[in-house]
Amino acid sequence: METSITETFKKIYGEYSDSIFRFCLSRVSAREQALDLTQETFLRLWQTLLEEKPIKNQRAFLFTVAHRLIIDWYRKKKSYSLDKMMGEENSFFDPPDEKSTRQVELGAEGRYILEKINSLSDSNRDALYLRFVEDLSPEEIGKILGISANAASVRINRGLEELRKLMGYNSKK
Amino acid sequence: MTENEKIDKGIKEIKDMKMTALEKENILGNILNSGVPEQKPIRSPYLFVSVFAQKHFASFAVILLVIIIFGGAGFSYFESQSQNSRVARLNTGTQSPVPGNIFNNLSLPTSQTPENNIPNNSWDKRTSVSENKIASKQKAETNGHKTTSASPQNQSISAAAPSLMTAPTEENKTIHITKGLKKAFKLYKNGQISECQTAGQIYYSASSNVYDGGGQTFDVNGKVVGKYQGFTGTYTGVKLENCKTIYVIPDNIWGLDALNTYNLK
Repeated sequence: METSITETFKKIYGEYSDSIFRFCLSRVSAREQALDLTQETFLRLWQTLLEEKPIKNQRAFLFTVAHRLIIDWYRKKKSYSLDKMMGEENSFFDPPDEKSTRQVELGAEGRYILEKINSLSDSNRDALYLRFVEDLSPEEIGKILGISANAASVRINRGLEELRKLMGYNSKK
Repeated sequence: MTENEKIDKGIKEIKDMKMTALEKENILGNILNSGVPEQKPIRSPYLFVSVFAQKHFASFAVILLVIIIFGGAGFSYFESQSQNSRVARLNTGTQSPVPGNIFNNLSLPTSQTPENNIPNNSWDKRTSVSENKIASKQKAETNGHKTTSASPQNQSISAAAPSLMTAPTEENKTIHITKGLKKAFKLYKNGQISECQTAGQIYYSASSNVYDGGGQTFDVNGKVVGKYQGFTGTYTGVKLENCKTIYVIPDNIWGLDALNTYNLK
């Protein structure tokens, strides 16, 4: 029984591990942190498979988990007090500072686009990324973000317009 | 390069971001070696709906109310209809507990009802027995036998102890302390002793100064010739007649004055 679960997991992992890693990396901009989040995401999938809980859409499940883990990561990062960081100046552990990790290695165009995508409003950013980078359907995006497919489509369009403005292009073109 | 071409190129570069083979292998190994997660509590198969679920709360409240109303009424009906049942007996018993021991009624055996515990010691039955014996004495007296009439004191004695109810005879005055009397006094020093003369023989009937304590009858040699079961009120043994009380301990349960005719010590 566990063997079949392992095989299923390996198949899903091989198919979606890069997508999840990319999604995490685009949001946290730190490779090591993105790897941790990816591992945590697939660990949740592994535990769910072991508990024999049904998963209707594996890709949507993985992106939903990753999305929530990223939100948690940002919350924890914000709650890390500056005073505490100053107090731990001589401690053995580095604070969760992006400087201590390697930056995303991208080409010029890719880095530029990613930077602009991350500059979008929170409501439009994930919808746009999932649609144009991960090629997810509005229904899948709606499931991941906890909104309807129609609302996801609206966010995608608004995000695209916002991106064009940020890039200095005329949205009417 | 047009706007769309720049965006497409940028997106293509983003899509090329991938984990290295080593990173993939490490993560996969970590996950597969993480083991089985802790077992969560297994849902009981008998709990098909949660009592505490809010959407079922109203229905559960109604069901509970129905159980309380009809359950309580059923119990009352059961109690009133089955007076011989154990529950009914216990209830009856607890309504009239013995002073000083609230658990006394709870200790009643299953086959015993509170009513059975009372009749043989009841005042009415003992009085009726006394009256019958007094009547037989009066009948014998009218037939020429030499007996004394039952005094009010003797009537009260007989009411307390049925086997000790008859009046003393004149012959008893000459009786001396015997071995049987000594034994009766030794065993029932804390009680009451009566001297009886039946068919020319002298017997000593003794009883304890204890509720339902019972008693024994001895002959002049100290041999037990009769027993009185205080709990059931039954007497078995030699039939006693012409009895008179010769010893009563002070502060007794029968409400009698202290007596020690033969100065027993």
